[in-house]
Amino acid sequence: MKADPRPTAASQLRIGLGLTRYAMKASFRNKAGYFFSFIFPLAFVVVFGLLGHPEASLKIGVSDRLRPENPVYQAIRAIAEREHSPLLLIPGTEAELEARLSQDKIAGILAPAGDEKGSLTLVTSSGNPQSRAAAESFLRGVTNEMSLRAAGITEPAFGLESREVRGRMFRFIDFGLPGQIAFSMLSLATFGVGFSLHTLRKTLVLKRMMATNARPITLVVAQCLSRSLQAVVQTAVIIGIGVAAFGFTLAHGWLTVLEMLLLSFFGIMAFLGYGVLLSNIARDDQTLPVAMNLFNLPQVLLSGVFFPMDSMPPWLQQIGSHLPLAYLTTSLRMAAVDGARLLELWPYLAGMTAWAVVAYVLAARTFTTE
Amino acid sequence: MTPEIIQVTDLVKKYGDLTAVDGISFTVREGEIFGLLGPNGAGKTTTLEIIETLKPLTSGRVVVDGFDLHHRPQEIKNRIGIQLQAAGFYPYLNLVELLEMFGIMYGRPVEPMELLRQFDLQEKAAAPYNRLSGGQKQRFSLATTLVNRPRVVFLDEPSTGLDPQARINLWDVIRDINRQGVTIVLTTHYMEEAEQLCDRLAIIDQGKIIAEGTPAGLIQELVQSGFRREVEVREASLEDVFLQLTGRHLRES
Repeated sequence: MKADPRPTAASQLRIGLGLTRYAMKASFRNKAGYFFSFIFPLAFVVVFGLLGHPEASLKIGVSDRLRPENPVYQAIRAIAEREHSPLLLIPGTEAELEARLSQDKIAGILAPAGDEKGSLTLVTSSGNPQSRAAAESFLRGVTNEMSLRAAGITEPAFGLESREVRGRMFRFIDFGLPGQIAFSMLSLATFGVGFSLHTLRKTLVLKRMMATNARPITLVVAQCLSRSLQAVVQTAVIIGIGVAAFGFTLAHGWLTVLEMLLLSFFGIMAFLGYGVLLSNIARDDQTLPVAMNLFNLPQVLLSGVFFPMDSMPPWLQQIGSHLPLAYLTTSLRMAAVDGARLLELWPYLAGMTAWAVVAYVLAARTFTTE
Repeated sequence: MTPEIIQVTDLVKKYGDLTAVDGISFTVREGEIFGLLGPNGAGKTTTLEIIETLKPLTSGRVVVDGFDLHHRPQEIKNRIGIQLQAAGFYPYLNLVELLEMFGIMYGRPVEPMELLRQFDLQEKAAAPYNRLSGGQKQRFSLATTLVNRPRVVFLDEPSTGLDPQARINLWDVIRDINRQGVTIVLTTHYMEEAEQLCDRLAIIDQGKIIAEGTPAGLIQELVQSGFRREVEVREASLEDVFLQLTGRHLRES
């Protein structure tokens, strides 16, 4: 009987590609696997899409003690009744309105002033200086113009002209969708690969491989490869739904889609090392999900996936912006919405690579078949 | 005398201070069914896994089909089929796909349907492993050991957890494989299984072989040493009653 040749790199590659096909078949049949990595992020994309964009309106309460014939009130009402007016007047009793003011639901309350000249009092809250300034400057503009007109001045000597530069409107879908793609990559890498590896160990599939021509690590690589391909397909579907249903911004059209797919592939490759590492360290059914959540949750909270990192204290931003999930989220967002090209995103790619190298070295050192 | 296909000499396996296998020597002849008997924790599985190339040995020598384990483990891998105790298979794949996957791992073509037919599983070809009955699972597991057309097949407690009918069926299947010229090495702690199935056996306890021979020979030795059963020999056992009432045919959905 002629002996088979010893396993070589080429034969492992051939075996690995063969096994990848079967790993893909299996993972596409695993319905439960879709939930965390696909249905979940997709649901959030839909929520972000339905949120539309933040309304730029000024809501001012009007006291029921204010008489309709008050000239200032009339002028304000006229502005509020214009089409597409950003001003919204909310009538009510003063007690009622003050409660809403303290909850920051309105910017101020208009009430009659003590004098008889028709002046008004603006009640504002110290809790929100921004909306207070907006309400104040708007009302001051109205009263100033009325005063000038009353004094017979129709063409003021000094004026401020304001001009607007056409900017991109902030929309929740543009913020949310890249974050959800990144989140989906993280889930696939940790929950997807980590749990299957755990099962392959428990059912002795990896151990059984030791008695074949294939090295067990080849099956792990095949698994990672199949998950990465699955990840690219999922990303494409999420982008497709985002564009079709919610008009997600693609700075350079199809080219941007391609760039996002490449970034996702890069991202999941960086995360996969952690999926393998976590399943190497956490060996039983109870500790593995805990370990994965410990790795995933802080990243999801700190990487600007669900809310902007700007709203966190600076020291926390410092930490958050260097997490692998933040590198992927930010680079996806910059590619899609700001139109950054892949080469310009090199610091993020370098950051992900650094995290990946650490993971792969540790994962290789802790890997066992049982 | 038939040639020896496995030679194990002074095999020792230590885990730290614990000696799991303590200087075991035995030989397996080509074409026989050889049993390793012993209570749980005696070192049967460890011995098997060392010969199967899955575990490194501490000291000793193992030769399988002329190849020394120390120098030519890959040659041994290509010549043996193994069934691990309580093992499973890659999830979400059907039986045909699993066999094809083994073919890829051995780098050789397989005929999945032919193998499945041989083990009476052709109707389950499209089913995933976890939908099979206990007996079907064991038969499929045996089918996977033949993917690389091995000279020796190792079975670690193949009949554990099976009902009497499935166990009797499994014995027939194992004898079938053996009749094709494949040497079988199995572990068991069922004495009836050892007696019915094995041509020769070794009894292991606490990492040492305490007896070796044919089942009949070992019984003869014991009787000659003056041993007598305390109870009189009954004309039938409870197992006989059970099989008489429920039949010997295999129960499978």
